[in-house]
Amino acid sequence: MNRFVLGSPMLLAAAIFAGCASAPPPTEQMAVGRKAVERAAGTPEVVQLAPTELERARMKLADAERAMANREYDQARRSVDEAEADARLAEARAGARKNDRALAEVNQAIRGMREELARRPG
Amino acid sequence: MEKQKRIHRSGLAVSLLCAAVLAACASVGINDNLEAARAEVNSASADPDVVSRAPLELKNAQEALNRADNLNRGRESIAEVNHHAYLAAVRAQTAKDLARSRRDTDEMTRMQAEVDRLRLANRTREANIARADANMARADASAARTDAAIARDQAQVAAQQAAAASVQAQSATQQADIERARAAQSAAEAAEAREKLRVVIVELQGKETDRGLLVTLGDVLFQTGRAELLPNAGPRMDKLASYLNQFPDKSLLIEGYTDSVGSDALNQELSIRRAEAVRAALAQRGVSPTRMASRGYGEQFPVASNSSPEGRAMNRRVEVVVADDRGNLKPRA
Repeated sequence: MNRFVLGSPMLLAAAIFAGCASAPPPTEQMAVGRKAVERAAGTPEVVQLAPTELERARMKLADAERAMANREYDQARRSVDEAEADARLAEARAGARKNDRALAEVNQAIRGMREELARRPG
Repeated sequence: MEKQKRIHRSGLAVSLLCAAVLAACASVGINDNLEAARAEVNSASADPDVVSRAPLELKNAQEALNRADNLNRGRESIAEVNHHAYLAAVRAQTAKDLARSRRDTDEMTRMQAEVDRLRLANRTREANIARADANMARADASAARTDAAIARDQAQVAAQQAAAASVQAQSATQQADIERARAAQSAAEAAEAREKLRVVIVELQGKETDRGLLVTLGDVLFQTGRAELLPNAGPRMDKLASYLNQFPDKSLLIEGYTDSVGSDALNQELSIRRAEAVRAALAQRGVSPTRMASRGYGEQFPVASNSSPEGRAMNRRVEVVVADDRGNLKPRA
């Protein structure tokens, strides 16, 4: 009884520490995050069209690596998850910008052809 | 007891530590990062394009937001709340970009149809222009062929006309030859007629007058007061009949005249009987009676004076008038 009463705050503290503080190292998430950033950085259109977003992903990944080295695993998990999300945003944004440009070119081409048609009707 | 106290103190310390950790972890009141993330996720959710074109990414964003809300409500670590709020916001933006990118792609697919249509229209237009050019060239060629055909026809017509003209010329030449021959014949006939006339004038002592050819038979043919031809008139009548028979178509007018001796009535009757006598004599010598008419004019139209015997002899006469070339025979008025 006494043992239990005595031990219960300890257990509670341990539980709280487990919830808030560093859990096991997020090895798998690190791998996924690294791969995502690597893929975005290796895509020329992302480098060219979403450099800010890509840079943020890289910095987040660097943070995560640093946290891993410091055994701050919670921090590492958060940073690498955010790095992955940033990398995906960089890809999506680059794709959107690329398609915007392509669409504008198609529109211009159509305008050109319409003008051509209007100039000298066959 | 001492040990129990120590343990208790230590438990209190752990509890205090726990409270401190909890205070550090838990969030208090409104989190600006969370509200910004909520605004981002709500705006993405309100966009039908995002809902239809990036549903998975939108769902991830909403889940992150729910997670952040739950953590916030549970007063969990602010770092965790902020982390999930950040993930929610970034994923909402990602969903929007993906939706835009996919809408662009769809739009381009749709545009491609328009591009193809316009490309076809342009090509058709070029083909039409080419066809129009070809048609024009064909029309030119056709016109040239027509011109050539017209020229050929004209040449043919000209050749035919030339041939016709040649035939006409030939025909005209022949006609001219015929005319010339006729003219020659006419000339020959005229010459012959002139020769006969000469014979009459010389041998029968005829003369040409405005009434026609006139042959005078003198009173030597008749006894005074009588109408019977004397026998010596025979050769003269033979010659005259022979001459007249050469012109069987010509009409003859036989006119008798007397001198002024005797009554007019007697003279008139005598002149008629003398003309009739000559007419009968010529008829006897083959001159058709139908071409001969006889008249008596008595002592009218003397050709000499009745005051001398010679003059009266000249007035006793019979004149034979031969119709001219046109067949005219004019009796005395």
